Amino acid sequence: MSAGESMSYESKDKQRVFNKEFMPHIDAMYNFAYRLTLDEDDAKDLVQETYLKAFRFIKSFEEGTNAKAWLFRILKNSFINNYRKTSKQPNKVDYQEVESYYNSESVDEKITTDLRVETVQHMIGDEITNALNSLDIDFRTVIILCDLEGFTYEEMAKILDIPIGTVRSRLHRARNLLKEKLVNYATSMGYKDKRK
Amino acid sequence: MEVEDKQKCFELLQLVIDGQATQQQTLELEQHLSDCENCRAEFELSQSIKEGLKSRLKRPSVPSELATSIQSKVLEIV
Repeated sequence: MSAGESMSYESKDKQRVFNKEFMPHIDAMYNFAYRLTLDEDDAKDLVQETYLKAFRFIKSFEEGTNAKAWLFRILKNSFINNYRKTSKQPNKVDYQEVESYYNSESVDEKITTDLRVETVQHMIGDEITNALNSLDIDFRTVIILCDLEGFTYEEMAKILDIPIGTVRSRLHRARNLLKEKLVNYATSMGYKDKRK
Repeated sequence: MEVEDKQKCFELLQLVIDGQATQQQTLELEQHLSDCENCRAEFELSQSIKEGLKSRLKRPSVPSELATSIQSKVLEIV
């Protein structure tokens, strides 16, 4: 008896949904896992674990809905459970983020004058990668989800289990921090502001 | 610019850059940017960083055996 014949209809259906809805996202999943763990082996394990969890809980996935966001949420939760246990830092949802969002104008002023579009355009991938990787995980995550994977704020809110307002404020802070890192790189590499 | 306007501008700017602004919000920002050099510079800079992240960050290649390994592990669960 072949493997196919021995399976119940339900199992075959689960496999069909798994292959059709979940497997096409493996590239994005691996990319997300790698950007979180910064390690190829850890990323591979994380993706594998996420897919196996997704298969076990496939009944709670509604076919035709956003499979990529559903998978990313599982991956993010697995990452927190596996890799952040020792840090004892829960996924912060604090009012300070919102507060600083509304009090950040002085930082923005400084960054705008210190970093120019031309400088960013001259930077190569490695420099931008280093700047991104040096951000705290919560800030790195929102940039990956928004700028690399193109999720909407609403999808990000679901993936991260935080309100949309927090997504927006965290993203704003993350981008300011990234700009600061890029300014530092630009300075250390001797990029000069032509206006000076 | 007043602080309050500036905060509103940052919010609008982010919405537009992320493609999540309404038509009216986009128009509102465009009008403001035509008068405000600082915000225009901020807008262009933010756009170029977003673009740089999308186009110049190397995407790691997925290990070739990963998909097969996942699918065979799934078959073990079935």
